[in-house]
Amino acid sequence: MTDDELVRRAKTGEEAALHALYRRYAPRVHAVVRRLAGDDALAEDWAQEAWLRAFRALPRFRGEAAFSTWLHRVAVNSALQGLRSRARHEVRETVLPDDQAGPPESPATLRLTLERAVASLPEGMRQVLVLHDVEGFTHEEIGEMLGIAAGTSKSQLFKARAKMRESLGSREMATEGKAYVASDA
Amino acid sequence: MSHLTREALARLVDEMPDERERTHLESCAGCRAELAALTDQRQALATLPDLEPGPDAWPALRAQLRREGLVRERRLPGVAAARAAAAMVLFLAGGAAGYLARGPADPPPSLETPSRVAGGAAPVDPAVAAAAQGATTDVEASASEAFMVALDRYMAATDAPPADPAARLAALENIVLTTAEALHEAPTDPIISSYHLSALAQRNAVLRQLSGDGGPPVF
Repeated sequence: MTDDELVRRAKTGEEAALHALYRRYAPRVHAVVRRLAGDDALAEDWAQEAWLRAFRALPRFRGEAAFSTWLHRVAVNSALQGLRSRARHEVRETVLPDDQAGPPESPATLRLTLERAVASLPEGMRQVLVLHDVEGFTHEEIGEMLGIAAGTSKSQLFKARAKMRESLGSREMATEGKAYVASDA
Repeated sequence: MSHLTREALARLVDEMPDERERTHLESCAGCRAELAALTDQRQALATLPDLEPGPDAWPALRAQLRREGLVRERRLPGVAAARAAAAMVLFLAGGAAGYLARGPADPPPSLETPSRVAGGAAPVDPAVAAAAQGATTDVEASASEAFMVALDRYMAATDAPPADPAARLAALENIVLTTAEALHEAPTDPIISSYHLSALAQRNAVLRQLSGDGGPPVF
């Protein structure tokens, strides 16, 4: 069933359609919220908030953009609002448990290493890095979302990349035949 | 020789180097390797997979959606609604199964809305009229929803070739399931129980017929 059909039925409150949309896009929503949050527990809460916002606003969704695009933006905005709210409280840094790691140098282990490096970045850098390098937003879009200049977004991105590279250190990351090799630049 | 900073190299992942940077990169293998590593890091980030939420995420979300009234539930609210729904389901399903058994030469059964059925504008099963009589607005709404479920099933069943015994059996299986759901709502209700037993008997008769045991004609 297409997104349009599911959305049409979901607008009437049909639970099966709401659940189908959830199943289709929950991993995408959870991923972007998790990476922006940098924290599993917060990610669960904020992802739920994102879905609630989306389903509450569904009657006003007119299909001018693809549902997936609209939902992605709702998820990003929800996470960013959560971050702004959290900024008033103590910052929690995530320590991902070791038992999530797979065998050494497995793709799962390498992805986890990357996720850890992202999560360990300072919040401002992490937001820009996730929005630009993971989610593909432009600096102009990021500036608008975060209320900063596009040039500031660029500056934060380059710092974030450098810091991430530094945190990965001399660890060789064989990914699809390529390797990250430490060097003293 | 002064190397390029990591931030400068991180910028060169997206942007062209200026003349000084380009000259340095041409002569410095270390900076070229670091730029390559940063480029790989950028590509790896762009291809990070989606992440599955926890197994409790949907139940929690669904509960909240229900609290906020954003979900239209199919659950029947009471015995009266269950009786009315079961009566209408059987009324429709009897017609559907009969239609499937007879084939397309006979006219299809009437597919009236519950209010019209109860109002006598179409052939009325006495059980339907009895169940619908005195129903409240809420009950009628629930019954109407159940009617739509039955209608969906009827339409799905009639998409199959009329003489297809498997389709006939499938239609009856749907009736059994529906009456079982109604019985779940009101486990001690005698009317629903009788409907369910009747549906089971008819389903079993078709099974016997299909297995070559003969027996009385269905409906």
